[in-house]
Amino acid sequence: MNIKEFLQYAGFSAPIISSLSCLMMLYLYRRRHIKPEEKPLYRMLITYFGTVGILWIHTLIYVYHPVLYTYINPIYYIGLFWGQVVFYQFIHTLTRRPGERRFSPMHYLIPLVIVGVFVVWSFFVPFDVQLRIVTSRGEIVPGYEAYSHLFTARLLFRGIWNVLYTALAWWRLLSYRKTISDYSADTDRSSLTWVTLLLVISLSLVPPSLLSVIFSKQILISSLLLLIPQLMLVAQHAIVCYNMAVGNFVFISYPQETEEVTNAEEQQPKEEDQKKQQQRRKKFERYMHETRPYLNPELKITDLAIAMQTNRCTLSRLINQEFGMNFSQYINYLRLQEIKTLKNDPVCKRLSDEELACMSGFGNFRSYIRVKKTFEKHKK
Amino acid sequence: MEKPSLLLLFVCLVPLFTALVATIIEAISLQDSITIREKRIKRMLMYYFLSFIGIASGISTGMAVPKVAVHLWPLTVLALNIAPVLYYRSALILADTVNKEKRLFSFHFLFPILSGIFCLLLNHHLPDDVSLRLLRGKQVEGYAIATAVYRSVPIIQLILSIICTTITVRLLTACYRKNKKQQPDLWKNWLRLSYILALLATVWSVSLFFTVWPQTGAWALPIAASAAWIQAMYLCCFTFNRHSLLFLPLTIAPIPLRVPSAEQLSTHGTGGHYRKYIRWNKTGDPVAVEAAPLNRKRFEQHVIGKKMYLNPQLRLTDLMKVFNTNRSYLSRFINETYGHGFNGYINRLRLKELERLMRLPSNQGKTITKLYPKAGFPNYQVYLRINREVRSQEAARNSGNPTNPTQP
Repeated sequence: MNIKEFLQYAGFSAPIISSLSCLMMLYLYRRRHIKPEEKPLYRMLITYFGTVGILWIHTLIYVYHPVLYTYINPIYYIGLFWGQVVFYQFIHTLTRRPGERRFSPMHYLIPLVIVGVFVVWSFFVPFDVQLRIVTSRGEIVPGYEAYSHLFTARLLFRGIWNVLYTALAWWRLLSYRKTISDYSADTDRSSLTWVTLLLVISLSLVPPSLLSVIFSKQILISSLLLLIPQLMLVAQHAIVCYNMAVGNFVFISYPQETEEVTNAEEQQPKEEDQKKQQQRRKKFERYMHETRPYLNPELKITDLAIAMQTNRCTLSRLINQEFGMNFSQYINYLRLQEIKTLKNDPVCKRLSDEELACMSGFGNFRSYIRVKKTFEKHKK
Repeated sequence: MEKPSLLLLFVCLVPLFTALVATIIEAISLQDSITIREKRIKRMLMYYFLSFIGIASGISTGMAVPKVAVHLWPLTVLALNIAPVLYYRSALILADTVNKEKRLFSFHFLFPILSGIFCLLLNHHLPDDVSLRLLRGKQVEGYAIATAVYRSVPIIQLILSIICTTITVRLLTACYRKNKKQQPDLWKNWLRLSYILALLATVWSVSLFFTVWPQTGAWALPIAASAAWIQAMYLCCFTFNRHSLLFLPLTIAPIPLRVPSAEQLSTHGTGGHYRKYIRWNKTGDPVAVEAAPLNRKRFEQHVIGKKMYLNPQLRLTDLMKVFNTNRSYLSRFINETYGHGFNGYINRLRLKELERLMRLPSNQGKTITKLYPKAGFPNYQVYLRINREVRSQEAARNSGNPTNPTQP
């Protein structure tokens, strides 16, 4: 075994090991800390890690034990698609908004149809031919051209699916961010920055699978090019696992919210309304001042709405109209004020910025820095 | 390469990549940590996982590509020797509730680093084929010392690991004994977990020791790899954030809890007209807090300590914001404690300041008309009025009880 072979072998086993380790870690973590409403997310992620692990085990078998691979290759084929779909479903659930349809099972059915056709077809193709396609790394066998094309198209399919689902996830994330700023005040959690990073990684995995169209698989496997996506996958697993366990997301369980079409808002506000608004504002400010809910790093607008005995929409509208900011900006503004008073306080003067940020309700130091920057930008 | 050895190689790679994942996770979580102590423990753990990577890469290359392993050998020795020390250090920081150690470098690391450097030098001097043969455990004529060094590596590693694990276990047990009264169940769980981790650390180092002989190596290596794998996973899984079980000693804050001076810990359950609210402290636990009543010390800290009276446009309403109360409460407080109204009190402070200014040598010879704005008086008339008031009061007091004129 020379160095190159060793690196290849290590590269192929890297995603297997990392995904299985992450799976185990999440499983261990789940038993201890999880909240009941987050269970589906964890289940999905564990499925994802399992799928990825199985997928890469198959790749390893493909390279080092072709005969066995020929028997089990439909599993690999379906796993190729479903890995992407499960990950998309995970992001879909993570970014669910009220009044939205559930995840459509069509995403799972389409790959199943493709693979089903393939499996049925495989019954009519002699085993030797299949084995030859595998051992020759994707050569077109004469007499079975169409079949061999379907057999070897899996990497191409993988590339297409990868691009498609990453784009879908990206689109979802963008539309989610617009709505979520109104729900939670923890920018670090609600912005899901780490998901962006994941999507970038996932997009960078596309080129290797598309390269298979240009080069033959023989070259691709023997080159060390695959090492890059493999190591990136390891990083991806670590990032997903960590953020999931820490809970860097806002899970909003929606009570059945019915969309009300309010035309009353468009009417001219009368003086009485203004008076009422003033009263409401006063009540709200007094509540904020006395109970200081913004010190809670996990504050959500729904918590406030319960305390103020209104609903989310009314409260959100009140904050928007009266303070000219959305909920999370307003809360973070109050936290910045709090940190200012803390800094002036002789008792807390010597505390580090990290500790002050924690005391004034920021989830962590990074979100404090981010909020501070955005407010400074706003001032200019 | 045949199938069994490929499988064995896979087994060796398992701790490597698990440790890689764990290192990445610790590196990310390093940014999210809040207290300094938490950060230090996480850093130690990160290095610990890095040493795992060093050991596993050394062993796996030793199996597959010995040529590379020869060059990696000093690194492997360093990683082998530093791993138990790092484990001990992280436990030390965890259990150290007094928080007295400040140094970055400690003498605990001296021996592993020295051994690494020594091995590097030795490797440099030996010819490649000799060290290759030494690595495979064969005798080489004429290199007695080198052979001894190569042979002694697993033994030294084992001894170090046993010593460190023993001290660690003693340390953790002592920590448990000290704190178990608060939450017995949680602490029991914590102790059990720590024991399991220490046991796993011992298991992998003992099995690594047994890999020296070829007849035991076949089964010792998988045991070592799986023990290291389980340990890395548990260690990583229970240190995700500060609420994790392994970080339980962190919840005993070494520094007494600091509440801003305007607040106090809520003592009585019900009653009292102060609003209670929840403040999340540094360890991430909620603490019920209520507004502290205004007292003289706090009031003077702000008004005198920060020389708020120097502002000529100071109003009572400005103080409202500082002390988080309303106007009438503040006014009553000043009246009751100082016996003057707000304006009278502030202007007396200004008068004192003016007297201090006049005594300064740099202001010698300057008239009051020049200095009164510096003391915060809005205009000269106010100064005159206050001066007259104070003087007349003093005169009245002096005539009233001439026996002790110093009493205010």
